Amino acid sequence: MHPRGKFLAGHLSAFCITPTTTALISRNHSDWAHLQLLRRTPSSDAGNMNQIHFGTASARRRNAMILENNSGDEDAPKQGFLANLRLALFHLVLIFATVAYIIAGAYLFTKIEHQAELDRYQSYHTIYRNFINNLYQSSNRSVADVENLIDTFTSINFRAFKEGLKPTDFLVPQETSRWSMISAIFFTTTVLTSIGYGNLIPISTGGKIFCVGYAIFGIPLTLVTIADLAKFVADMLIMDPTEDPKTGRQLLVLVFLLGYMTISACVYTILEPMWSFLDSFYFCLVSLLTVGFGDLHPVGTVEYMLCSIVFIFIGLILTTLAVDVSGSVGIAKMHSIGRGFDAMKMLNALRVRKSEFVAKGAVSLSAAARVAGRRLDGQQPHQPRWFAYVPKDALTIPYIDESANVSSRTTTTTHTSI
Amino acid sequence: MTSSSRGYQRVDSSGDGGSLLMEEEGDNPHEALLHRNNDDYASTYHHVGVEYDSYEELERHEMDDRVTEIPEGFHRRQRRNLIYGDDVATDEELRVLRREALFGEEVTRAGLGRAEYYEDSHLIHSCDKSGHEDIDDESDDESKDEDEEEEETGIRKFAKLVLPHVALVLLTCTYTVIGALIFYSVEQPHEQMMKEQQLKLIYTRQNEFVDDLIRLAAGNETKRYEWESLAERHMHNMSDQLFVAFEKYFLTSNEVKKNAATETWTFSSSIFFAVTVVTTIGYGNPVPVTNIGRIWCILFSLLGIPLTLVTIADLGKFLSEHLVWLYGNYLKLKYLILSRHRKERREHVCEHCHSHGMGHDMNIEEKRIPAFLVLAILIVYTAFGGVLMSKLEPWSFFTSFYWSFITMTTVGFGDLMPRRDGYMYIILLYIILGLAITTMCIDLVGVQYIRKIHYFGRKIQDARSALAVVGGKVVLVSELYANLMQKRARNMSREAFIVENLYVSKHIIPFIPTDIRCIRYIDQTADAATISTSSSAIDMQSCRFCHSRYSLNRAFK
Repeated sequence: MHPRGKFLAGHLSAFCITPTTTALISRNHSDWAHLQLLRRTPSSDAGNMNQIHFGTASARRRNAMILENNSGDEDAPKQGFLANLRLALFHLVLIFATVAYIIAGAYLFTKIEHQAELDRYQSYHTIYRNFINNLYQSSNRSVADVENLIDTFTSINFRAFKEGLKPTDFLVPQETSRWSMISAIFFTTTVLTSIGYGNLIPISTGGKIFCVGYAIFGIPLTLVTIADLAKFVADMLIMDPTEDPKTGRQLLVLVFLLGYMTISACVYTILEPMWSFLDSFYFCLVSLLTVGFGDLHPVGTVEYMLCSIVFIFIGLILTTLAVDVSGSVGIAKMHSIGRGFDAMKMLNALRVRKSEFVAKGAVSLSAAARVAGRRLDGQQPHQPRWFAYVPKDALTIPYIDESANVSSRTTTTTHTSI
Repeated sequence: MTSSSRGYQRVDSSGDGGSLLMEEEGDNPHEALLHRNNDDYASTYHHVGVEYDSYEELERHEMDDRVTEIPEGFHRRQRRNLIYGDDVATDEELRVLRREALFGEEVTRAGLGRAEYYEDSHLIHSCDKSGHEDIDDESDDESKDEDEEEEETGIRKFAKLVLPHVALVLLTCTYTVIGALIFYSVEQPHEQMMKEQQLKLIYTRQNEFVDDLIRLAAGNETKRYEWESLAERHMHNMSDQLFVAFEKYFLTSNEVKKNAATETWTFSSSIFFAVTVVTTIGYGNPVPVTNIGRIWCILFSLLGIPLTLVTIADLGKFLSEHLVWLYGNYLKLKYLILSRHRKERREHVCEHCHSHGMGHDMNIEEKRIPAFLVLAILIVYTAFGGVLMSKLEPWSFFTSFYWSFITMTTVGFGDLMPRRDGYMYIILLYIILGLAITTMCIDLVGVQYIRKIHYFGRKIQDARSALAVVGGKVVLVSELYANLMQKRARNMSREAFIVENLYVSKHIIPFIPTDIRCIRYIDQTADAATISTSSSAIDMQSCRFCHSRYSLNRAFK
């Protein structure tokens, strides 16, 4: 890329760049030629204030080159599928990166925790068998001794429960762990979305260390992906770009979120035999607000768990949408309470007084600020100076009325970058 | 330090982003909208180029362009005459007079006025399109507010600034305490009843176990198989019952041994539970199990979570403002230290700008908080939490750090729970401050990345959603303008206004190359003969603020 093209691309990153500009930038034209393309139609005189046009043969040749390039590019415009694919490509890559991160993390968690879990099963099973031996050897002892042994058994049970084991895990020898691939995927999903049910958690030190590092990088990635998708949904809601964001849309988003929760609660009531509708709605609300108590959580087949994960992601997108539509405005207003000015009043005041400025013919930024603020009366703020772009070889380009003196311009110019 | 020496160095997007943006093509659904808003300055850059039907039209267009060229030159020369007297060369004056005779003074003045109007109306139009309602009552209220503000003293201003935020914090605390009271009154009786019931069941099975063992011992049975099968059956039953008591009713080992139920839902633990609900941490230990408790939890969450998040976000914004202020002071200090080694290359200010209060020592830098600094603050605070909890609880440092991290990210597994007694309020204060710091990190770093990613590869619909990169943050132009007005109103200093104004206007004018100072104006050929051709002389010819040219021997240092 031409060095100037980098600045041009950076400066215009928020605006439209057409194929013609792209073609010209790739041909390493000078800066002056770039700005030629960005000029407005000849009917608008104000748009030409930043351009100096030279009526010479060299300028005419440049314009001819531009015309040729324009006519050439218009013959083969790229439309439709390719543009949409390029638009969606980065966002799809972001989604795939998040999904891949979740699956890779789940795989590593199974690797770390599976063996630790089996070791834990074996150790508690050994303790259990030793307890039975002690019980047999004390067959002739008194009732008090038996009760002490039972208290010891109770302590062993509670210690095992705290480490995530269940009675069936250590009373009978087990060959499989609860950290299956689908369980680990569910766990990583709830970690990255910061729900955190806590029914399946890493116990070993290695698992905890990996969980901290995994969450540091994964939570921002997931939040950015969900926020990105939420903005797409927000764009779909805006039918008219010039429509004001009103209260109706905020209520619509909230009603949509509650409706989604209600429908999901009905589905869970059907699928989970032990849950009532209140339990299902309670679970959906606790999940989508990312509280995540963990007293109620889905358990079932692989397809069922995957559907639960999709439910969580879609719900979080709606929750983020609600926060984006309603919450941001509230936070901004709340924070600006007690400040010097209310931004809304300032903008309204500016619009009210705009007609006065136009009538007086003194519309300028400083004048508008002075009248709206009413604090700089009598002061003359410095007027910003607008100046035109002059190309590097300006001295070598003669005026129309200086063609007779061309031979006298033999001085060379020295241009040094700072 | 190159960017700081230039003063107005703009933060561009990454090169890869730029390349991909330039590769973007074609079918724009909002193109009609762009063409509809011809006054919008965003459409200035949308035009694909000029097309001429014939050379005659080309010639006419070239003649029209001279209208904007002569006013600029004429205006500059008049300013030069006012500042430097009659030092301008004679042939330059003749050239000006010739152009004036050719096109007339009316065209010159009209062109200048039109250009100025065009530039300033852009920003007002962009604010106009932000969609705020135009109500006459608003202007009346605005005038009234201004009258009141002039009469307020400093103390009243400070109180007006602080009191709403303090009221918000108190409202959140009151809401949490009331919620905790309701949870306590609903769940505590039910919890006692269920716990006593569970203890009764456990001791029934325990007594059956003991009786069977005693009966076998009395019978003098010596078969090991019968012993083991009996023991296993009873131990299975007891384990199942203990697990239910542990998982659902949160009984502990001590309670089972002493056969006495202690309160889980105390008032302190209710407050702790309420705080973990509204902050979406959600340890899940304990949880409401009654229907009334769950219904109240649903209502409490729906109202409390937005209220608490707004409060914490409000505190987070204060923290981010203080961090920006501290980082700005750090940059100033660094600039002062480094400027001692660059005295020879100090920039110069022309007389006009100097008379308006802008000296050569004025430093303008963009305060962009680096992402690693924000991440470091987060990790240091988590480590501090690790140290704090390792002293309050019998945990190791890593366990405390792990708990602190899980809490700050609001994951909240619930496997590690602090005791809820006298030290609970210190822990709650740590949690809330940690969440405010997390919000600060998102506010400083996260928002700009989300916006950049979302608008990647897309076209902006209109000026209302036009973006500008200011201070490392991606903001809407309308928001930028509103914030600018707020800053100007808050800071009465003229310097701040002028600097901010120049700063904003720089993002609206078209491309300016980095070597603008080395490019001479057409009308400065005579001055070049009187100035040496060394690079330092050319470097010092331009004013750092308005980029106008002046002679070296008239510079103000």
